[in-house]
Amino acid sequence: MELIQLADVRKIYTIGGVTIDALAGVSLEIGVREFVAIMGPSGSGKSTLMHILGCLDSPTSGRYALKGRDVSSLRSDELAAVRNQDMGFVFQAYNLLPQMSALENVMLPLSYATKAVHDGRRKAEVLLERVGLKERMKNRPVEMSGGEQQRVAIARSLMMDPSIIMADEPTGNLNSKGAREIIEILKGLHEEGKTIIYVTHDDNIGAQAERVIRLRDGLVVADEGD
Amino acid sequence: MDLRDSYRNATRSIAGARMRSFLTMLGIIIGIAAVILLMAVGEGSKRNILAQIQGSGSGNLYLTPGAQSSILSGRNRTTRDTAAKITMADLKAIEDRVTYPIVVSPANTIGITIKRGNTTMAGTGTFATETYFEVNNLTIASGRPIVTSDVSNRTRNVVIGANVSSTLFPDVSPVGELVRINGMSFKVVGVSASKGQSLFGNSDNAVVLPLTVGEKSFGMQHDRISLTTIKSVNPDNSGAVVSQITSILTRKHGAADFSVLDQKSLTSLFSSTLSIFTTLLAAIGGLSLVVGGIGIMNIMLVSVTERTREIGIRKALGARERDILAQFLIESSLLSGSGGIIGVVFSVLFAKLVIQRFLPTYVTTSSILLAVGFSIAVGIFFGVYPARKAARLKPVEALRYE
Repeated sequence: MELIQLADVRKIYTIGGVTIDALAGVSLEIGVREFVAIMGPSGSGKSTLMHILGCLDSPTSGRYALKGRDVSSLRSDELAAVRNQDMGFVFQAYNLLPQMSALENVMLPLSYATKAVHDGRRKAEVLLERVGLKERMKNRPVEMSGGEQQRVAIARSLMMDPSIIMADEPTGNLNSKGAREIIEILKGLHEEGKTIIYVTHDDNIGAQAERVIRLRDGLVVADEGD
Repeated sequence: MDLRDSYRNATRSIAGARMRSFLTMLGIIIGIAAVILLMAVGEGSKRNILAQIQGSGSGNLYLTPGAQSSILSGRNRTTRDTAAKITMADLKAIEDRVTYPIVVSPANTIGITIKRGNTTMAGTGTFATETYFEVNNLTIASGRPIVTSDVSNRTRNVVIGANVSSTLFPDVSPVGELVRINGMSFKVVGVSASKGQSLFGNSDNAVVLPLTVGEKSFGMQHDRISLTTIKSVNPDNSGAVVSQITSILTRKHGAADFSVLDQKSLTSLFSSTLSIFTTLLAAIGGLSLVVGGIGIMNIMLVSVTERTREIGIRKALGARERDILAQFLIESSLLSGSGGIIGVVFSVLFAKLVIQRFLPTYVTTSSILLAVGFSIAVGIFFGVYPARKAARLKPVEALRYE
């Protein structure tokens, strides 16, 4: 059974009377433990695809099965539970809450957990140590570099032990050293058995993946493995 | 999300915008203070008046012409009631036939001017008989009271109140001196001791004159008594006395064209009227609380817009609609609830330290509980709309918000 199955997924926006086919019928499958980069020029629909894969948005039509379960018609609370349990998100702009410390940010998914997590605080500390931020746990995001903030975000994405990590331009705001560090962490997670899906427009970053899906005008134009 | 987390989140975001939170709370503080202070003044006046009724002498009954509560409205409403009257013959019948020991004190009261030399003051003139002093617990400080012979001889003698005495006779003893009342000369025979405000006016600013003089010299109608106070010597009998008077006068007049109130019914009559007054005051205060609530709604709407991205992040991490709803409702009710508590503390202190000097005030526990409860309810009510708006944001749109 494939982890992710998309069948003829479309996403149509209507803005000011003009309809835009952000996704014009995408069908693809992603298996367990794959390491996938989604690439394409801006406006190709790669972010829309990532949002649908991450259950942050619902398709206009088509079917999305996650672990064999149709999630394209779930209610918003059910989608929230899916995001909490099965997905970990890493964003280009880090998206940490500015009023909270690194540790509190990593622990935030616990607030919305539907299953109990044993000693969440200790777990968050271990995750932060793992991304090399043992000394920065009490710091707030404004006191950290971009690379450090993104590492906090990765620790947060791992808090609920999801099977899939979704990263939307995770290196987009970082210098090359910071970007390399993030890719190395993602590679490490992949080796541990996580499925990694990330969006990028940078060929060098895209080349790190085992499989590259290229989009143009809302359609898959290339899908190649290493 | 457990409640302690939510509470900490809410206090953190309130503290994060300290000035704005304070100004928002100020609306609630003022609203709550208005409710509590107005209710305190209302309750204070109510207790004050009820205390005056209690102090007017237990066992006293009040007989007035006209049915029902003309004693409160001060005049008779209908033409039939205008015809209704209590006469000296009625009072004689009551004295003769009531089987319990009673003291009957008829009185008519008008506004007068009192003059001595170049000093003039306004006051009330009570035309009464010798029983007036006993029934109203009015003691004589110097001289003597009005006596039976003053009434029967229509003598122009007067007993003046304590304030009248100190105003017109600052230097000499008034007893034996002459004063002019509405232009007519009267001899002061006594001064009553100070008693302060009572149910039927302030006896310190009043003078007591023989009942018969009113008719002769002040143009009062013949044989009409506007207020008769009847004292039941044993207060326990006052209920029975009321029913005896009612049956005697009803038979004599052929109709119940009068009213007899004892202290108990007078208390409940005033009590219900004054409660309406207090409720009305609370409602006026409540209006400003509603304005404060709109302030909370306004600021929560701003807060939702400012934190759209935060809402998106929380939703991406698994927050359900009800989690976001709860977060914003806790925040708005915390704002209004703490504003309410500050308002209570402020208004209780203000009532005790300042207003108490000018007006009778009484802060009831129920008004405090009502105010705090109402303020939290205002926070929830006016927080619902912004919180729902936040809860229904689509995660992807919220994340895209700059």
